[in-house]
Amino acid sequence: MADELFFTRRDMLKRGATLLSAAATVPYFLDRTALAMAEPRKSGRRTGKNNERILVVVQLAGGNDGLNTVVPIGNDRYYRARPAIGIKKEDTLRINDELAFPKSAEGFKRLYDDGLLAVVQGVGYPNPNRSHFVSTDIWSTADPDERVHNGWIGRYFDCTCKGNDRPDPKTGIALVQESPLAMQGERFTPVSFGSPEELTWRGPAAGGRGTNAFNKLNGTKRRPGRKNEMPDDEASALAYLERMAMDARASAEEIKQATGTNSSPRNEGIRFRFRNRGAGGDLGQKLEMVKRMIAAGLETKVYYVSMGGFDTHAGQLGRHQTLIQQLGEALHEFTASLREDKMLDRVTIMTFSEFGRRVAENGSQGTDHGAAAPLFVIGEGVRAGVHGEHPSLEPDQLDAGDLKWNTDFRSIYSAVLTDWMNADAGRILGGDYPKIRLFNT
Amino acid sequence: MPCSAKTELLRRHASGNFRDLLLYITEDPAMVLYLNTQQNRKNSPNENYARELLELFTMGTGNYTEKDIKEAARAFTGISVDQQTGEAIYRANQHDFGVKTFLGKTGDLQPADIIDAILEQPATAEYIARKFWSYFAYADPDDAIIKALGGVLRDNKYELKPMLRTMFMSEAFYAKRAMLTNIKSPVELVVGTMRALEIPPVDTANINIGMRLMGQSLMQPPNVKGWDGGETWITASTLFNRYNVLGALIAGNDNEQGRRRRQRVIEAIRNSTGKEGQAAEEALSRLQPPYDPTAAMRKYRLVTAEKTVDHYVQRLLQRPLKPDRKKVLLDALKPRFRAGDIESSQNVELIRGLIHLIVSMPEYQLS
Repeated sequence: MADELFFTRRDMLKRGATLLSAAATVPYFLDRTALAMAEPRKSGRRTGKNNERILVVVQLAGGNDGLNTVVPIGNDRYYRARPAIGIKKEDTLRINDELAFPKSAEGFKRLYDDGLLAVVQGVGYPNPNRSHFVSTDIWSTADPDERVHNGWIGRYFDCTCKGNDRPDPKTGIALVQESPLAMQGERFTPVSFGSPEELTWRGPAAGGRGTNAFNKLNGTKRRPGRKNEMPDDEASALAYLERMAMDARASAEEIKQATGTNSSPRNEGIRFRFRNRGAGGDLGQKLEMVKRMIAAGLETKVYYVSMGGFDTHAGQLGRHQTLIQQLGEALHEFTASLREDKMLDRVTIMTFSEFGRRVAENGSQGTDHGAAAPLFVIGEGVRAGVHGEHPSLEPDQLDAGDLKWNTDFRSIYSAVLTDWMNADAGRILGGDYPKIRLFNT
Repeated sequence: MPCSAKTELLRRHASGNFRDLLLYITEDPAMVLYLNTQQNRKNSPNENYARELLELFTMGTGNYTEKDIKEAARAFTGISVDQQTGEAIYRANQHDFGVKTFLGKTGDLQPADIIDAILEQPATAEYIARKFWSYFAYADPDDAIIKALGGVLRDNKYELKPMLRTMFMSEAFYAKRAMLTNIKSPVELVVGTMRALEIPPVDTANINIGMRLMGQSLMQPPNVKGWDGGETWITASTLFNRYNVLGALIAGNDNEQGRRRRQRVIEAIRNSTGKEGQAAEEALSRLQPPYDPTAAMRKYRLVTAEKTVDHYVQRLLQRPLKPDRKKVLLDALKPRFRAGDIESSQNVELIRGLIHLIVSMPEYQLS
């Protein structure tokens, strides 16, 4: 599939560009270097007013290889299909006789042993699409027929407000540059940003008169709710932009306050929160920021973070093990830190990836785009353990070489929406799906 | 180099004949690689290109069947790319010479036959007309407009210029609904600003990164459909990035600090990529000078704060500003502005600040 080729090349370019941009733009806009190192101020921590439940969605972009994430150690078919990249039994951490986590993914094992991790096996949907873009859209919209153009979380927010009111954009925060489709509702638009440092106007005249003028030019009054649609005259186009500018500015203040990235000198010298500093790489940093926002009592119900690099077509073994090691570490540190502050009972984490990968390895010690894969749900409210059956690995039971799904991903959304978010899943998902008992509540 | 060749291709045919464009793009190496045409072989057809050609590039859904997609894919078999040269090649032994039926036509259909069959459909001309109208005027135009433009396109055998002329000369094109209702894409925003202020593109590496921070990486659309555009350009991040990238462009980075920082970037890249990277280093060594308003100050005699604000509002926004908005700009500029001093270096600084404020207005995001 050439989109694989393109995707890989894109990834490569992106990595190059990221390196360049991190180095080149940081000095441009970000004079202070302590980017992710600050912690919320004492006063900003634990305002405690907010006791609402929170969902943290972790996207694994590129198609995570489920078979090397939860390894079917008891199945010889797995080892026969993957002579070069199969993970040997002695390199794993046992779940039961059949399943194990790779040794590198110790974080998963610790979460599992602590009774916080649910593994749902064989998650997918009918007629699996093997394009990154299409399948990501399908997971985001919760519509395999691709007729719906907004996201399941966005629709959840649409449903949370009455009549024509517009939901507060801050209730959904995406720590990604481009607003994820999953968070986009008919009326709801999340606050999306790569780093809170970006949410500052940095003019030559910034500070004093310049900033004052900028604030005046970017709206101060709240405008009436409107749908997310393209404006049809200049006045409404301006109103739309002014609303966005004002939302951005208003959210920016609170977010910077919460993440400790505002320019107040009082923030200097405050230390990193996670015990294991730097754990979990880039995802760890993002989740650390989420932790700070939760701790600061932001009224955010859904956080969305993303981790890339899972499109492992070649030389998969080491690369993928590093990825899931980071993932495991990041998730473990995040939950440990929430637990320490007695906030884990309010938080559920859900991972997803657009597809799993082909059962058999390819000629370049990697795997191509597949179908069904396991998914993780994590939290104190979660019924820990392995849910559902592992899809068969027998060659005649595969779908064009890929695992067949036995749990529709919308069943998981349904459980999360109904049992965790107290929402009307049928309305949001446009139908009823057999619910899995994923939560204790 | 498939990407630069593709850019050339698009530029050559952008206002030429749409049929030519389709024929060339079908065999364009970048497209062949991107939409799997090289895996599209006689005995294992790949429908990717055929599907997108119909769905996104020419007709839109609802005007053809899944069978049509399969048959079109068969006609495109055998087109491939030479791994060595990067040029498109035709592998006859992988081409399906069998009889195909596509949109009612039957025979040993070849790529050109498929494209002609597509172009015969009224839906195609209207789909293309709609794309042009949405891009230049507004989304969701009335059917009458689209039917008329589609007709011009078909009557002129898909020559694009007559259709463009009709569109640009039509009354509807100048309706209120078409004025200042589009959100500028990052490229339009950056290039437009540079043109309006006559800023030369020097530090192109950073300009590119700036556009990426606004959500548009050139040559890297998010998917085959391209950028959604419109209101999706605006998020909390991208809005601030739009303001700040333009601010950085106006302020420039060709100074001691900028050079030091850029040196660090070059070293970081050198360390991570090894030796090869001379072209990149050459590009990176170019730093952007700050915007220089002295020529404008002299030419337009910008001797008062009022005149200066009026000049730059007209130049950048091309329309008068509401008095209360203008007052904000004036209040920011006036107190330290040295009126009457046409050579004032203090005014040069202040004017850069003023421009950054103007481009940081919601009004400036519209075109």
